[in-house]
Amino acid sequence: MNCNEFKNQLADLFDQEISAKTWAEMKEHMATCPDCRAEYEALKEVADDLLPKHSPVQEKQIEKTPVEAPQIDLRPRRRWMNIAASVALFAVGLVLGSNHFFSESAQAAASPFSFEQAIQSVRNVGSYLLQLQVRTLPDENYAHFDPHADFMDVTMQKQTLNDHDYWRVEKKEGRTIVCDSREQYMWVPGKMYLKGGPQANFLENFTLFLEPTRLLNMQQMALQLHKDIQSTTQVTDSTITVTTSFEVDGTELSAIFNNTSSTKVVTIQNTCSMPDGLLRSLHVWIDWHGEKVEIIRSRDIQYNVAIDRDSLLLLPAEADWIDLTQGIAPLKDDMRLALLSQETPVNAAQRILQALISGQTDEATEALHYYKDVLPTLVKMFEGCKVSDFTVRREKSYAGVFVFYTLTHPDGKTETCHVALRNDNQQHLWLLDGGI
Amino acid sequence: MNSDLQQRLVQLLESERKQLLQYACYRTGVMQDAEDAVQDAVTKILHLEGPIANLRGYFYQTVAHACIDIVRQRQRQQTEGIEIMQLWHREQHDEFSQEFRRINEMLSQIPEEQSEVIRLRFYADKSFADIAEMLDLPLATVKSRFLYGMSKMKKSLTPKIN
Ligand SMILES: [Zn+2]
Repeated sequence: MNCNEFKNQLADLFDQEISAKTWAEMKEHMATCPDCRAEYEALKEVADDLLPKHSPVQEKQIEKTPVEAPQIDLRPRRRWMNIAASVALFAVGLVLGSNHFFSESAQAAASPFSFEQAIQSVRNVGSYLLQLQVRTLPDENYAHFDPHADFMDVTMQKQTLNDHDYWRVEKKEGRTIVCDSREQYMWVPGKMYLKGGPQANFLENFTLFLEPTRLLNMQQMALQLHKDIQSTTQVTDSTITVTTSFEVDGTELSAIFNNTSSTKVVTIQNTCSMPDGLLRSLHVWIDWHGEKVEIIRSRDIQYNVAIDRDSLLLLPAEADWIDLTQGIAPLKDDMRLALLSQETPVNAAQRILQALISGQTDEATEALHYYKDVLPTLVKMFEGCKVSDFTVRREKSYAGVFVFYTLTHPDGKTETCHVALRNDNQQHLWLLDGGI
Repeated sequence: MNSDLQQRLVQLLESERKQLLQYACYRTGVMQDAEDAVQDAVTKILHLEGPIANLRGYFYQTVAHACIDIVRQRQRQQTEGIEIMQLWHREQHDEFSQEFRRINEMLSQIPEEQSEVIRLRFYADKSFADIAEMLDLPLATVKSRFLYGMSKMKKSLTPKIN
């Protein structure tokens, strides 16, 4: 290397990476050429002065930022949620920081209704009873809405004591979820009994309705994000009704309504009583093929009601619970273990889906552990289907990975689907964790 | 809202959160303002219509503009004597703030097009190749802007003796 070549490549010494070969050549030149060495050292001095040493951006600080964790740690149940959308909210929430948000929107609000006040009012309640009617099916998961279905009664009760939340969410004679502040239990009578840990998130994004503060936050956020939002306010002597219509994209609602994929516009109507500012009624409509369909309506909302803890936490006696916190028993077959532990997520997804398609679920017994009670249903779902085009995506907020694939139905229709897989178990086997 | 754009923006925020905030910090000198600038940029971009080919470049550019706006506004407030108490509280004397003032002084001596390359290299932790792509410039141009800028600061570092 001569001086000209050295000068041409001088910047490379300050790049993010440099090839070992170039670095060796330049070093060698500097060893013999004092001028070039002096030039480099002078710049190095400037770089040292410029390089951040007391950066205020530290991981710790970032974690401290108020973040509503995206709800994507999911367990055996159908998963319609649009991960990207919920992560969008997560990311936006992260950089925004809720306080900033609120103060701004409080200034902007010209109406006598203030979300801030409503949120504050709801925040202080110790117990909460919400009777909803939802267009859904009794055994379906809570993320499922069906504009064609009849209204079902859904009762949500929550009690907060010493920062512990106890709650019960029940579809009449259907899927029920109970949380005793640590464990969560989910069952469909006679069909499925699952026990999960604090992270189980059986309720998925329906938790929004369990926490009126979040529901109000979300609407406020939508108002903030969409300046052109339609909003009307009606005031009576004792109530204020706010009706907002907005596109669900980019709001937490998009995750909820993702399965009704044609839904773009959601209308929410809140009525709060005055002067306490408590949420008293709630209606949600979606645009369904050009028609406005009401899919959620409240029958009754009560605060600080006496709730009997024992009956709140009542579980079915006959249940044989599958404990999801236990994980699976270690695999003893060494040959199979060697085979499975070498799998990539794509390999595992292919094997699991093929097992479901062919009906030979023995091929994926371990991976389908969480689903062992619903295997016949799954096999039927996948009958005659084909899978192709596998790609892996990781999200920081999820311990496992997502494998996206193209599902071709027997009638030739295709859709992009995904499975959530995780291998944070003792033997690092890929287990199906959601998506199906 | 453009959902493809939103998704890309989310990925960008997820993967570059630290660099973005650090980059913004070394433009505003205050963490809170850096967060605000990134927020402003997110909001601005989420409201854009139509495709953005070079999202990363555009995003950093938008953050930079937001930072400049914030700093200008702060200066205006200072000269108008508004919220003196608040500013006084925010005037920080920690190590980072001192370092920031020193660095900012150094970078203010060279043209913006050179200091921008240096900021992206050191504070956003981008490679020259990344920067070339973000600023839509030939790689050689990026490197020479970097070297010019660095050399100028080198000369100004050693005071001339008359
Ligand atoms: Zn030389």
